[in-house]
Amino acid sequence: MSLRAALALTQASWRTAKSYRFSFVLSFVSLAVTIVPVYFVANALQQFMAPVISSEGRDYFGFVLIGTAMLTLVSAALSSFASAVSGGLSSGFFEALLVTPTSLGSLLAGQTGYAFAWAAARAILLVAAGAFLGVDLHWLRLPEAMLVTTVLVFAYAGVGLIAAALVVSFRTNAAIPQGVLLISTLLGGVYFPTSVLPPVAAPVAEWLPLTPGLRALRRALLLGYPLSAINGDLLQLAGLALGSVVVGAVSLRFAFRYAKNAGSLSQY
Amino acid sequence: MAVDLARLNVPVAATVPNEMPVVRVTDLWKEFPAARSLADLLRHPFGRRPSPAVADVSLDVCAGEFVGLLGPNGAGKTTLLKILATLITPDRGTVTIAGHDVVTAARSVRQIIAPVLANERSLYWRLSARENLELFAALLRLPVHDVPRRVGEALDVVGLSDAGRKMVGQFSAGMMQRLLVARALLGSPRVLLLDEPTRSLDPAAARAFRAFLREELATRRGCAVLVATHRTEEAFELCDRVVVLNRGRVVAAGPARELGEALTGTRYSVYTLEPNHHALEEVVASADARRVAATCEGVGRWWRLEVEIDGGDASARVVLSTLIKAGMPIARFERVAAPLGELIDRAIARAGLP
Repeated sequence: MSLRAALALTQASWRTAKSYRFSFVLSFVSLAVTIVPVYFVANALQQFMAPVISSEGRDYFGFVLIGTAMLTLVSAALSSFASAVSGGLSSGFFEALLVTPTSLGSLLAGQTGYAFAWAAARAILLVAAGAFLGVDLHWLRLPEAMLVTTVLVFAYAGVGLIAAALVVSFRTNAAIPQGVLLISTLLGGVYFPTSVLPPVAAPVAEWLPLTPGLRALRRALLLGYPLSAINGDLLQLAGLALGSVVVGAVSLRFAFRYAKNAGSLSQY
Repeated sequence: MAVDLARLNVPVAATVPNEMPVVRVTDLWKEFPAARSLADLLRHPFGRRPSPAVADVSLDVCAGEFVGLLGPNGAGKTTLLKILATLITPDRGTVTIAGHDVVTAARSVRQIIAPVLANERSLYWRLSARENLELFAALLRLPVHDVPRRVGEALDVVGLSDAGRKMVGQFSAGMMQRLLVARALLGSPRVLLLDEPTRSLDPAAARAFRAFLREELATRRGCAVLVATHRTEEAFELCDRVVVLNRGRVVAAGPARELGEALTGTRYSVYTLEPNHHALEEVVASADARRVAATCEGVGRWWRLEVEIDGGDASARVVLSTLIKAGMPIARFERVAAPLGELIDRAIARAGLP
């Protein structure tokens, strides 16, 4: 893995994004548009939601805010690999990268680095804005929160790699990123805790990385739980992450081998 | 040196004796599933009809040598280059670059080769030329302290020093093509693979670019260069040797000059104000030349005549001298390369292929 190559690619994407000045500024404005309605709606629902979310937090605005921030990262993890591969294959840019001595892992890391960095910046800004608007965060639990977030991103990045493998092999991601994002948003506890889900959906929710991820994160940041109190969720999340990353990496490897044999690696 | 033509089912090996080849292709074979109609797919959903893209191709390229791969679309030129660039895995045969196998030692191969296969969309258009090259310097693992010098040199070589800070999106097609070459030269490669290097250039720019490629890549840097093209004049003007491909097979191979004389025909174009000048009529009547076509260029009533002159350049020189002595106003007289289709037909006929 060449960190230098990955950073160079990320920097190139950053320079490109920065060159579209109006769009760049507008993306910051959209953050404010995201958070303000959530603030008012969450406050209006506070008295109804307080007993329902009590195992993960006291303040409903903080509950939703963390869910929304993590959804930003999950979305980037799910879609950025397939988007990078698909865009690179159609423009011919991926071909130019693949004939350099840089490893595939470094190329993918570099091609998606900006998307991840931008999603992380948005998530941090959302949480910081929440703190500014009165969310009571346990800042001492930041290391636990960062650990959970990292594992959560890996868990969804594995699915993102599977989607990228499908693009390399069959030129379609089979709507996997969109489907997983939709199911995770509905059942993963972004806007309401999974404890309110009907019995049919509850077992499905437990197989989604977002469910233990958000539970652990909220308990750490909103209730101040230490690592020892969230390690059950963290272990469950780590198991899901390991499985998805291994399957994703193997799929991508096979996809590239298949595409090299089929001669479709460099044409869309 | 005799022109080396293929015989039926026998691969033609284009080799230069007494020199160690940098690129060695031996009995290379690659096939892809042929396109099938919907009806065929429904009748035989699992049936595969493979079609060879590269069939039994053998080829050697030495350092400092320019080899042209000439053929129509679908001849297998780009597939061959992509196999050399480690982007496609061959079905059979071996390909080595400086002794490294393209399948088993792909990463070593990528440190030696520099393909210019991708189009101008493979550049970051919102970045400057210099920033694009700096990115690729990192991907090529050039030493960090050496990057500014190498980038400066590469821009200088292709004549883009003054445009280094300019955004690539503002470049002309020719400038982008030069930048792609600069990018390829960054890592000081031993082998360059060029796919249609002048495709987006006008004739004058293409000629200048070919001269630059020849001088810089082969003469000064001593690179082994493989150029895929469907332009006959490009292959014979630029290359030391030409390999003619058709439907994946080598149908002719040999030194550019000799192969050119054998295959491109003996057609010449004459630009004149008097297409029916008596001197030309006399030459045609004496069977030294045959009229093929006459077209009015429309500017100042100049006519472009195409004539076949047997005996090649020596006979053409005599004919031209006769016409000038007789007072025929001639502005230009030049050899015309036969169209690619005609050239391939001749190669197939000479090789005795069906």
